[in-house]
Amino acid sequence: MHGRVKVKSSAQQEEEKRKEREKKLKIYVAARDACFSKRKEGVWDDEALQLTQQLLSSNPDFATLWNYRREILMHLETVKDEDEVQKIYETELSFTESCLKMNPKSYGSWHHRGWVSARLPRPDWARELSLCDRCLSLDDRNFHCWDYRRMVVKMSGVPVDQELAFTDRLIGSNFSNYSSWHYRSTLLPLLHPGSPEPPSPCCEPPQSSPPPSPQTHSHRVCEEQLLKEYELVQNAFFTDPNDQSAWFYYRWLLGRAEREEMISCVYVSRDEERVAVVFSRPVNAQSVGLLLVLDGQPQRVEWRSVHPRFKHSPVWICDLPPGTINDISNEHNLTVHWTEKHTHRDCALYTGRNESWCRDTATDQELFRSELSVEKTSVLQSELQSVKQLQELEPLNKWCLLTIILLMRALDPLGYEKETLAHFQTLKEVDSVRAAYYSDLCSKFMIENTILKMEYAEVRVFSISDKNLTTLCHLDQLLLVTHINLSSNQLQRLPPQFAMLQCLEVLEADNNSIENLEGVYHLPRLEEVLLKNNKISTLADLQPLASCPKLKRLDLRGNPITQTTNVESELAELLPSVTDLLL
Amino acid sequence: MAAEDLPSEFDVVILGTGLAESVVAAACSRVGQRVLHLDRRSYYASNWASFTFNGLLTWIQQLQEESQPKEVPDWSSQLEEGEELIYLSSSDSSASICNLQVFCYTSEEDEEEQAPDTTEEETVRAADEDAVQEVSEAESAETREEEERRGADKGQAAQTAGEEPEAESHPHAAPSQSEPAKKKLSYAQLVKEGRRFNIDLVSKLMYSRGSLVDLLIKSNVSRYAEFKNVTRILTYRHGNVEQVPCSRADVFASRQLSVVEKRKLMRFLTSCVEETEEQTAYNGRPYLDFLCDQQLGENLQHFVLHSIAMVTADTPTEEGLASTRQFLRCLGRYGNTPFLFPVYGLGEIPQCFCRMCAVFGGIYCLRHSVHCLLVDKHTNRCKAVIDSRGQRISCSHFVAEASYVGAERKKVATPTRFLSRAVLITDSSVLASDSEQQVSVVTVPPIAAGCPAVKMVELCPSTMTCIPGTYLVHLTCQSIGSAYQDLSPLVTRMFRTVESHDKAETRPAVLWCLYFNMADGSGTEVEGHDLPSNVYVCSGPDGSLGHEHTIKQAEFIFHKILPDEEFCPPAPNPEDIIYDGETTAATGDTQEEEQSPQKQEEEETKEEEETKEEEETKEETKEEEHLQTEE
Amino acid sequence: MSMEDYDYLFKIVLIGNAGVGKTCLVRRFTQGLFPPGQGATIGVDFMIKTVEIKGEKVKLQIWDTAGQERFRSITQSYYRSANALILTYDITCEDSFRCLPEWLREIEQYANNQVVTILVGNKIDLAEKREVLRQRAEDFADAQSMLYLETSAKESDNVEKLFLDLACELIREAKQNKLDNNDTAPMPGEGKTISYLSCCSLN
Repeated sequence: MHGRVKVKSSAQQEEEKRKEREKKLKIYVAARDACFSKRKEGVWDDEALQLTQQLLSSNPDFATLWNYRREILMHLETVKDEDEVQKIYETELSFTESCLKMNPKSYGSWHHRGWVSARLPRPDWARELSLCDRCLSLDDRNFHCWDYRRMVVKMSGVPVDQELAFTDRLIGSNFSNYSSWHYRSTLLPLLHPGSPEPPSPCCEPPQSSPPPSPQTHSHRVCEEQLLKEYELVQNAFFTDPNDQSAWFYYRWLLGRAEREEMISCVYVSRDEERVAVVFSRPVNAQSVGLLLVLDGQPQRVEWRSVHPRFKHSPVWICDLPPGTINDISNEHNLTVHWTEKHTHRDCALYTGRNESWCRDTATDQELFRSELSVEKTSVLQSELQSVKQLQELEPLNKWCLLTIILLMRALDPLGYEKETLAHFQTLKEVDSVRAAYYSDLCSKFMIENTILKMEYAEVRVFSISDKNLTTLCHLDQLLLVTHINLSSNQLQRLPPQFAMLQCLEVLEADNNSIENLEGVYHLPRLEEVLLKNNKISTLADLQPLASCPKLKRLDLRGNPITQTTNVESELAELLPSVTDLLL
Repeated sequence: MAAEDLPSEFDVVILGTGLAESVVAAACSRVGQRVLHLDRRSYYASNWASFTFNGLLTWIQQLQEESQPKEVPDWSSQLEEGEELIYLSSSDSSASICNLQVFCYTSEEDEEEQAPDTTEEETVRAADEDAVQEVSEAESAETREEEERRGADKGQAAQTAGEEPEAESHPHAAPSQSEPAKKKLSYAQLVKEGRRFNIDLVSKLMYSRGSLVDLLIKSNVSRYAEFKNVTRILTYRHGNVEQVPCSRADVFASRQLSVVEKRKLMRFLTSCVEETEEQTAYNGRPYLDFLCDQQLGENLQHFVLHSIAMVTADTPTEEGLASTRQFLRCLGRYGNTPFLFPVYGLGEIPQCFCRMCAVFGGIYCLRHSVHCLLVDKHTNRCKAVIDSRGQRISCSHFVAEASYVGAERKKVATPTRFLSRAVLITDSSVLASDSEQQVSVVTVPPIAAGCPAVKMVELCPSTMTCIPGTYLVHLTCQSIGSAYQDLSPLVTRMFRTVESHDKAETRPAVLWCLYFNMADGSGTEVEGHDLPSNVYVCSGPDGSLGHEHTIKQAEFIFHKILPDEEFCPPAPNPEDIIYDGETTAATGDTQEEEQSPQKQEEEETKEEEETKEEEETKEETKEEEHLQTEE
Repeated sequence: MSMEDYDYLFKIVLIGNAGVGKTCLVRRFTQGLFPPGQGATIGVDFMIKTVEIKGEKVKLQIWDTAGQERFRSITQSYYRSANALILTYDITCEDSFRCLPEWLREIEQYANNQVVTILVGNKIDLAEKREVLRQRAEDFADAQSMLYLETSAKESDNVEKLFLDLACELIREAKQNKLDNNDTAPMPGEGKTISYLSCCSLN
């Protein structure tokens, strides 16, 4: 019998591999040097193509070599006829394909392929699409391929409905692919555009609009299609309620409206000779072409945000030239133009009045529900029913709970307040790592509810005590509030946004954990600050208060700072206006 | 191809090339045993074989020919001192295969340019009748005999013994609708293209994490074959074929399930993965009870019980859960279902193991059998065998497939159980879909209490088991009656045959079909026979869907023979093999031709010492020692 | 660098009677030597040689019968995925030539339709013992539309040519059927571990 088979030991194999590697490295280095010197000499020949190909096939992320290669190809374009160029570029395509086989996430190879595809005299887009399909079937999250595919779709004008069918396929094979859902969300508004204005009917013929291509953006989707999408996405989250991509898509479906860009409020104060403007979104007033006209006269004013920290802010203020409106017997008409958006808002300051404002009667719809913009409550109601059904099966699923909360808010924020709070409690328990996030979100919703209640009551008092608030938000909505009660919450700071409360006179914030008062800054009317049982510990923490000229009463009982020696005298020095200091 | 004489000394002689025998052969050969592997048939894989269409026809014909037990010569002259003879069974596989019935539902010849009118049907029918009649007559005697035997065994009246197939009693109730666009393949075409069929005698699938797949990978035998994923699991329910949602993606896309059902199914399956106290509380109670209490609803219960666990209503919960887990464990490894199927059919698998055995020196000889064993009276061990040519071949171990061993040698006389099989060539899939290349499993729950559950596998042409335009359908169940009795009612319901009377135009048409019963190997025990202690019996195929029983058995036998050796260690990768005359890699083209092996070995060793790989050298020396003991 | 170092991989399968020199042809080609003994080395499934043809690296996997031809017991699975078949006979052995039709039947039964078959008459170094005339073999090969070549594994005559010609032919065919992408073979390997129940959740 012949010799038994002998097998190379792993060390032998290693050694062989090592030698192989050394050999390869030598070849690689030599080729690289040759390439560099050829490029230096400006040689654009076939040999250089060969060399770069050799190098790039072992290292497709060598950007310089791709560049050199492109130089050569561009040169060849000038000396060859179209058929030859076509041939050269086709070779180039199969070369990049082999590079991509080696590293399907190589920036260099994808970029080069895109470059070649764009220059190919007679491109074969169908082949490119099928290449992408193959590549995505191997890894459906390869974003390089997604990017390239988008380019191909754009160049070749693939109809949107075909692209939608493509996402159907991808989602069908793996619905946990956020890329596919996201792509879908960009296609739907093009294919099934909703009416531009929410109340108007959907049947308006969209002839005037240009043919849709995946590059233009609009966000509305007609309701019929929306219902189909709800069904699709429900299938996904019922199948796997822990899969977040479906939930994200669901949220996108529920809310895509953006608030109209406008000036939502103009406020003028005679005493301070000051105007405050609230925008529907943060802007930089210095660069948006803001124009103040007082009694027909454009005014040269200096707009500033309420806190030096903000370059962008929803609230901007300016001082009028001294003496322009201080006579209480005069009536003034004020207009603020947002020239960039061709919008403006008027405000009249009547005789005998110290202040005046003009704003939209804020309804809950406009204020907070823009996030969920489904037109019909009935749709939301039925969505709530099915998600509740899921929750019965999966009582501890966070995505489900969160979605229920969002739907409830969209339907009736005040009516569902109790249930919402209970769901938040469950959320914090089942997903404790995100407890802080849920607390903040819950705070936000509680603030919104309180604002709504305040609006309904038509008062300027904002009271939200004992609600476990961890954060403050929507402060731009509180511009007119004179009295705020934040007592017995879990606030740690009054953030710079707090300075938007330009009318504030009394601040109650006892029993929190406040250690930072950054936002109590240049509040012209602030007289009383109650901070019993907080965590103010140093004089520096109180520094912002010095910018509030009318501050008279300050309660600091139960704060660490009261233990400091000489605190009283130092405070007197820092805040000379305070007459009533409680330590 | 002149036949030489066999060597007269082996370590292990193996008779039969079924899966278990072939695995044992490969395993023994792989660790250095001298293996002689024989099969009295002219083809590999015994009852695991796949045949071309023509090969299958020959196989049928051979079984139908009256198998006259051949006169076994008296070999007692070969006896040496202290030896006695044990004769092996001389009959062929007829003991393990019976009740063959063939039906042809397609025309004999091409119907060229003929208008699809009644005259055509007449011809078709006439041809069919002929085919059916001919076969049935040849069969009837055997069938009847078989029925009686079985009837007596089970104390059950053989109610349908010799009953005429429906086709004959209602010869004129043939389908009245004429085939529109699609032209039926003729029998002549099937024969002409016959070599492109690979029709398995057994119908099994490979669990993607089952012991066969593990063994194929571990041993590197997998390099000899290619595999396809089973693409979908179907079930037959309320007279319809439905797809069983079988992966996450399937559940998502399913149109039959409500969203709540989707959630319930996913949740149930997730909860199955881990054993819980809730589950163990159901031990011994029917799985169906457990499923009912999970409040899955009827739909999901059906899917889980019949198509995922593939058990019956009265299977105990722990068994049902184990099957469910097995299914889940295997999902997603290679595809959307838990199963693989070998391209060219299951018959490839035993052959792959035989190839491995041969690569390691095993000697192969088909059409060659062993007539008797020579047993040492004192030790009760088999010392040698006498082959069908009268040659005495000594061996230390003897392994044989059960059909070579007479039933009278069984220690406990249990009646042989049978499987009912049907093989259909059809013209379309039982469930049409976007892709024509679907490999489907169809689970068919018992039609009535006491009836067997049927497992159906539908193979498409891309598995290389049938020709384009056809599907190959395998049906398997535990026998109650003959295969025809057990399976033809289902075939009539699910497919279009001459026997289907009603409006069946949407169902696939059967072009040709074969019914037969095969002995169920699950009852055979390795040491369940009155035989010398170094003789081991391998069972034939069993009725389960996977291969667990067979692979376990092969491993058991191997360890009986070689308790201290590893079972099927990986065969070396050909790229890593060092050949005589090579110093390092395969670049030895400048070597002198007539170098002695020793010299080369020395050189190798020297070179290794130079590279200071001391450990390697040691290993190398060990190899040399091994080599010496062998020569 | 995960990719293998070749552009093409072909499986070439040798068949023919025992003793006609199949193993010697393989070893001559892959190792450049003529083994004095007979029979394949135990445990060698196939041999490999990578050749370069017109700048393209072609890896040839050459499979031998593992001795199963001795008792006419070659497994049909041996033929299955072969790209090319080398049907060998011994020019000094009439019998090995007469068996060719039998081998062709096997090929017809089991091999792929597109398989490239080449008939090889080996042992031309033993010209004085020739039993099969070249013309006869050529006529036979013609009739079966096979290529024909006479070789000597011992003298290394035409061995290189045999395999290189085959490789060229296979490349030519491969380029013609470029779109014939094979989607089988999920094994060997560990496969994926996607569970039924979840898909890489991002939580």
